[in-house]
Amino acid sequence: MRNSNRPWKRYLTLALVVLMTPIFVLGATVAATGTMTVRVEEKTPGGVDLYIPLPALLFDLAIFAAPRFLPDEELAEMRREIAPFRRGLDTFADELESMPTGVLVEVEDGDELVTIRKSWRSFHIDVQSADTDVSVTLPARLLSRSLDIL
Amino acid sequence: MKTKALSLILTLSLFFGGTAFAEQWVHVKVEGDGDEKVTVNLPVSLMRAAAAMIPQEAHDDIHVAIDDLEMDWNDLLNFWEEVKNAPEATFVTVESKDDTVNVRKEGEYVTVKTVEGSGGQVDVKFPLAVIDALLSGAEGTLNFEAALDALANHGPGNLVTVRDGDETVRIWIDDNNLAE
Repeated sequence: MRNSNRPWKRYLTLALVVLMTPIFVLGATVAATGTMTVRVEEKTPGGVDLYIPLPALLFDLAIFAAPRFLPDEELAEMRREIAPFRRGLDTFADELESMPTGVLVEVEDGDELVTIRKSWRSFHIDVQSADTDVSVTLPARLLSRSLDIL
Repeated sequence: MKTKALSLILTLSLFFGGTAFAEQWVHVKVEGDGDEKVTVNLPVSLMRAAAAMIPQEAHDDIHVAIDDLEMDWNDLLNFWEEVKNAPEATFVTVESKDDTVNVRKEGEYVTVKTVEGSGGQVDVKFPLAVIDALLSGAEGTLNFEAALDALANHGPGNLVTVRDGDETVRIWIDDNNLAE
């Protein structure tokens, strides 16, 4: 009885492994590369309540694909323009990525509060006002990855 | 075995503690009348990286500013050398109907105190080592990167305090990633 069940279990396990592996790999990649999020919340009744989470992996794919869609002349022009600052920009981008966690900017004016902070591998931009709250999260490696195409 | 593990932990914590917590932050806090408040906290390492991108035009402007003082670069360096080696003293006092400006050397600092007739007050306190590093670049260029390194090495302290009526501006450096 037990022996007759074995092939069925084996196929089920194999099918589960085949199905779950890409999901685990994708999940691990999204977790490793982080997410970009946008949240807009209007405090008025019936106001907008929007939350868009995007895997930063999509940004990486866009950066990877960009040189294939941008005309060569435009890429060359961009490279020429940033050439004098290239080394400085690379250092600055690395520093943005590796700088310690902390609140960088805080602007408070009456009911409005704007905060820019670095938290581990992300930058968080929060705008809080009497009627609307907006939060944007960006991966800290955004600038260095953007410079990679140049 | 325990001793080895403890010394390994101690070594690792000293190494990582030394690198992770030694980061110096420059803080700028502006408080206006009413509810206005602006706080900027930047790690010195990030400012150093940004300083490397200062365009040549900005360095040219510095050259022009020095020319406006009717000094050449060597005059400026000689003047600074004399200030640095001089004993504590007040170097410049300007008293006018509206303002009093006092430039002093106090210990390892150059201080500039301005008192305005309207009640405004500006206090600037810069370590000598920072100005020394600032002037260590090629002729006519200010070495901001070296100055920021010197500032980070100098340790915590107040740099600029401005009081004007209800408004205050404070710039200081410490190893805290949050303003007070």
